[in-house]
Amino acid sequence: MNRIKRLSKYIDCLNNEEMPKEHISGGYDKEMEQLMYTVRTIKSLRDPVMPDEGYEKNLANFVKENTNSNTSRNQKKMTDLESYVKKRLITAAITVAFVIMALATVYLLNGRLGSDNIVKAMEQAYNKVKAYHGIIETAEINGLGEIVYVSRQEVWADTEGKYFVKQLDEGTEGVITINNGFNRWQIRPDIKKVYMFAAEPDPYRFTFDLREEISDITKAQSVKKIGQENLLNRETDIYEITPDGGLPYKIWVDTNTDLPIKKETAIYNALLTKTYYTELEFTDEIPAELLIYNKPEGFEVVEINPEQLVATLQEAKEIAGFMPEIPNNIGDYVLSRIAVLTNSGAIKLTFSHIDKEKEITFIQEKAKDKFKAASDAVIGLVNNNIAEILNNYQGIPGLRSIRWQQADMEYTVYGKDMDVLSEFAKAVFGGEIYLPEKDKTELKPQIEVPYDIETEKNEQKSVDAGHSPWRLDPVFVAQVFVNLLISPEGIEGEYEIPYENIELIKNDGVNAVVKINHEKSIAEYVYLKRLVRQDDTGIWTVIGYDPVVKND
Amino acid sequence: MRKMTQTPDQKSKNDYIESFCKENWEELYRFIYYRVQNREEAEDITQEAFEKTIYQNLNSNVSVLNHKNYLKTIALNIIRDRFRKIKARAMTIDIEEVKGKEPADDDFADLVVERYRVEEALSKLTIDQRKVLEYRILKGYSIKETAQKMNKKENAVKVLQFRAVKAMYKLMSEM
Repeated sequence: MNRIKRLSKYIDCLNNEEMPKEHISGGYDKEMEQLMYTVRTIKSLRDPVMPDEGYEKNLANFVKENTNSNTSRNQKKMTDLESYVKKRLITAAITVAFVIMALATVYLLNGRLGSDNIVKAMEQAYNKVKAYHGIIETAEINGLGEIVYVSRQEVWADTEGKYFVKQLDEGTEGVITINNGFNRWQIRPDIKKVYMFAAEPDPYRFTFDLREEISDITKAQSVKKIGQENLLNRETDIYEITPDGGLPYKIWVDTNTDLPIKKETAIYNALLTKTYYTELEFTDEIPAELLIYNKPEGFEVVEINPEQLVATLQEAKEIAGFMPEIPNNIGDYVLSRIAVLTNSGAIKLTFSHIDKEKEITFIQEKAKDKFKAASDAVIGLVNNNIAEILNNYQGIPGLRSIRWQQADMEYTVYGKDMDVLSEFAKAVFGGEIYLPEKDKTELKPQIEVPYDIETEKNEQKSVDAGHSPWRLDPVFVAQVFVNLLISPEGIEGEYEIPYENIELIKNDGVNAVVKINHEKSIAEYVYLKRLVRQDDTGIWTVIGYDPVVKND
Repeated sequence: MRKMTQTPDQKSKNDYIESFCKENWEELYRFIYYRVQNREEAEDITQEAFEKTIYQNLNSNVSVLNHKNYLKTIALNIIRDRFRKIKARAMTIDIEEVKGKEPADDDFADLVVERYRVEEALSKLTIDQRKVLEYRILKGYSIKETAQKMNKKENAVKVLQFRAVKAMYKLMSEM
């Protein structure tokens, strides 16, 4: 075989995660070795492929078996080739044994798990899923039992976060939303447009995404089996889920697959929502043709925050006009992706954990405006610069971010773990980070505003059901309050004191203080608190204010 | 049939083996994978390194203070030993060359520098050379898929990839 073919085979072997025969039998010259070394070095830019689940146990069993035998090391000594063959056979035997054990475990899980273990069973079942295809129907039913709204959608999704979702109901029929891991786009036949988005962060979640659904259940306060039902020819167990905040709901779990196929919310405001898979099949992957970008003829393309992947930091610099900062000492994270957001000229660096599916994204751009934190942000400090800290970056629950400006640049780090983000922000310039802790400072307004906790609890339930979302924004709540102070009879038309004139000056996630910059305002500072629930879903309530001091 | 039972000594030995494997396997596996770049071989060498290390720990009076480093040393010896055997057959291999660069795995800065070295070399290739390496090695596409993406014949991709790897070696050696 000539070198060209041989090198190609060598690359194929590594791509298939198999040991190339050159590593065990040799038979190549120095130049070939140099080429193989180069291939391995380039491939080291990729994340390592970790062993299958259970490797750790296999390893311990293998070692136990060999060290428990009386054979000394010298007696056991073999040639590499013999040793290689022997190990391969043992590994294969252990693997077969493990597979048999795993299958037996799955059988037992399917047959015997009670409600206590159903969460684990669902997680395990989902871990075996590669991709799925289904038809999801959603029906909203009012207090009289009348169906007031129905939607249908066809869904293809895989466990890597790729999906293809097609609306089948009237009104939005034919709307397709796709994320292929590199790009995300939505085809809108009604207006003949294709909207292009960056692949991530992806705030879009189709209804009853199995991954999200199971993830929510794992965080629930309690999961209780309440019955059984044959649903569309499938045997199901019914569970009541009490989430950590919000009203309980029910799910139907297919006893064959241990995966949820139906969900029913509690009745709220005389409305109950049922969502269920009328069809659900599991596949190895989403058909490739569904994930290929293909603009329908006559459609206009609208790019929203497009990003351009580049191979090197130098390329990014040439496009964006500045060299990005690279944080030092960030442990097990490696730079895995470099892109330029072409609309804003920002550089987006993605750092991946070397062995876990965790990512941190670091966006850097030239500061365009004076820094203003979002109204729902917690306020902290990075190197003595005001920092915006969010727990729902771009509206995605659980996606956290820290954003600050420093020396004409604006920096944003986002990811799931606030401690890691904080380390990242610290590692950029090596400065200090201050993240406020909850409930440390007691607010002392000059004038206290009374409230009724029962009313607030009901209001929280209403917001949980999707009503009055403005109650989640302390600036908006303060705006309503200060406008009512000057118009106690009620607000008609535009607010006298606009939203822009209210500045969030403190927010630790539980307590907030805003400053009113308006000549007509009676209050100079308004104090707010999350009384019912102290997280991103908790409503804000005004608990007091400091009046404006007149100097005349 | 005689019932198999574990003596207390054997039980504590098995507990030790389990906890030792649990604590160390991931870091060692990554260390080995970085060098061999395939799962099959990395799993194999990890297994052998553990077997040798634990045998040594259980059967020697010499106490090892840093198990992680000891495991890594054993693993490196296994890798070198394999290549030494190959050398004996092929008579052409320079062991130090085979060994390659050994970045300190725990040091992020070194990994970043190594990464820059490769990225820098990649950036100096021609566009086609860079593309073929990205598709074939960084993204793991087959020759057929790469040929489709680059609109080239499969044989042309093989030649292009061979020249690209050669050019990379030269560029990396000069840095």
